[in-house]
Amino acid sequence: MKFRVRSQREFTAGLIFFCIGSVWLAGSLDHRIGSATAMGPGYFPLVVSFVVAALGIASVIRSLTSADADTLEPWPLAALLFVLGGVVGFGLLLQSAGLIAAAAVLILLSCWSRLRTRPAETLLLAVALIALVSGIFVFGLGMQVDLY
Amino acid sequence: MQEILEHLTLGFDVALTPINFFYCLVGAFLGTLVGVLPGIGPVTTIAMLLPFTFKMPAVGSLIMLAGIYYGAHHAGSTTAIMLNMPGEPSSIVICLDGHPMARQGRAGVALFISAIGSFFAGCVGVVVIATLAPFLSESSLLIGPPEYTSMIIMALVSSAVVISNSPLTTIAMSALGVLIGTVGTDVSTGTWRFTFGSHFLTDGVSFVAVATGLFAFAEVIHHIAKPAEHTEATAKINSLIPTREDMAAAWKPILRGTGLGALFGILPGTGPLVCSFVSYAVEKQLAKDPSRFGKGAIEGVAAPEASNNAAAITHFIPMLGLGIPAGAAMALMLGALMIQGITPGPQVMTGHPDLFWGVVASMLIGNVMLLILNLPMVGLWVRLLKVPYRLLYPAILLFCCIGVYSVNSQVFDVFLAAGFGALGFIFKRLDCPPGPLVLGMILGPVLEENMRRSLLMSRGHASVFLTSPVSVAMLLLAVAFIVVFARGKKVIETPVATNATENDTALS
Repeated sequence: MKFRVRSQREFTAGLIFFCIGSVWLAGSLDHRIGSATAMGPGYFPLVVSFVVAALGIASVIRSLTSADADTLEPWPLAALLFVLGGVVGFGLLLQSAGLIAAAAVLILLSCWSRLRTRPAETLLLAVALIALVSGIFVFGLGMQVDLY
Repeated sequence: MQEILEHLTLGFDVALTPINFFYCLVGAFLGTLVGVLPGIGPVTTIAMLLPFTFKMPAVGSLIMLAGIYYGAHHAGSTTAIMLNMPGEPSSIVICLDGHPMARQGRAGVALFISAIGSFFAGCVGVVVIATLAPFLSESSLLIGPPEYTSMIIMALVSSAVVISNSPLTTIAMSALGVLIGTVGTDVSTGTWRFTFGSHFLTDGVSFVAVATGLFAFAEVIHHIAKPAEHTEATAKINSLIPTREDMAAAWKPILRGTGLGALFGILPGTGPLVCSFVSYAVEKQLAKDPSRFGKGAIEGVAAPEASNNAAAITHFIPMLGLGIPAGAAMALMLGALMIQGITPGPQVMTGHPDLFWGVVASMLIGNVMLLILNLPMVGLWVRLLKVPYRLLYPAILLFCCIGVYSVNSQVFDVFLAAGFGALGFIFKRLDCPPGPLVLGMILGPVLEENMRRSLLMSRGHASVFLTSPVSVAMLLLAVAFIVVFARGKKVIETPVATNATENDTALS
């Protein structure tokens, strides 16, 4: 017998919920569970992670039969990597190299694709934003962070 | 009566001090400004502007955050009407009839009716709160741990089903939020749970980091990845002033919407989310000719806007009084309040009366400001909608990163936000809305605490949740929401479908 996934979205979501729920369930077992009268630290996470995992299984079952049909589009990995890479870069540089360097990395990485097509606009935007942010947060609001 | 007047006088005294008046103006202005920019909803707006409130006194910061909230919300209605782009789930309903009105050249009327309806509803909401508040602080004595537990479950379930395409995955999102809420130090035993050996997580996951990642970062990635589509403000604004027929058609829906909204707003957790849907459905049922809905019926703009705003104001009772917010934006405001050192609970009304009444009064003042600020300047705001996204998103990212960092001055939170950005983007692709997760995360620890106490009281018998009438009522309400929304969706869905096809034909 062959199963067909009608809703790829619900199927994937169900799998994700099941995995996270299972991991958390295993983690809860590391703690003392206790009883309903005297709950240990593991009791509540155990119950909730069981619910998450069960809802995950239910979603997978629903995706096979009753859900509206849909398919997943391909993942835009470049956008994901450049934006989140910029954010992580910001975090890595903020305390060691200061706000200016961190902000520059964030802006330039997240605008990577346009650095070649519109170099002047992108650089100008970066300079303007860094000036604005430094002015507001460091000089205006007195945030405790080095500029460079 | 005496008491009501005293409360209101206190509120206006606080809200009308020059500095608080200024905060209110700044909040409403910033909220509108950032809210009309494409691709930024109220949650992102609040997350970006959060650092501005840290140095302020608690009252001032909540007044400003509330200003940002309804400013952004109002901007959401503007973009919904002008561009068919809802800023948050509750403005989806405004799109249904507001945008068709704009296409017929009646955008000005739609905006005006929505502003007037909001303002009227706001006034009624304030009077309702002032009347009910004394009773409510007494009735909170009726709410023990079992009732509180059921109430939170109701809030989580109902807020999930309202915005769902698939109730299973949205409820799973709430439950996942509750799980993420268990990260950190267990309050009762002091044990570190799920910290993965990192001492950064002992105080729990930073709420601002999660919300920023799930909403702001995921949204930015989603927008960049999408092939460029042109959103054009096709609608022209001819006249703002509605005709006499418009007013005749709109005043009853405004009244009904206000009533429903004021009522629903008091329900913990659901309030503003549910009521715009419900009041739209009610208007459609009551209409002599329901087929006009979805094609620019003025009732379809007036009623949801009024009910939404009435609910947003009466919602301050469960939000500040019980600590149960509706939706992610309100949850973020509550988080900001906790950063200020104020724990929500019944003691807020009695212990910080200036805060509670000051904020309520300022919401009314803020609504007048929005009226003055927005209607004459609608043209300007609409022009802001045309700012290209490629210039905007670096600014969004930068402001968000600084906002996340500034809450705890911890770089770790920025990495956490990046992680949740990836997760949020995956969930967005899978049609799982992030709002319930954020709500679950805020309410999770409270849920655990109250469940633990209830079961301790009952010596482990789960029947404790079924013996108190209040608790049973809450659980029944949760079931009712699931049933009603599973069936009621059809009432709303029909116009969405027609709307979509209209747009398709317009584009092709």
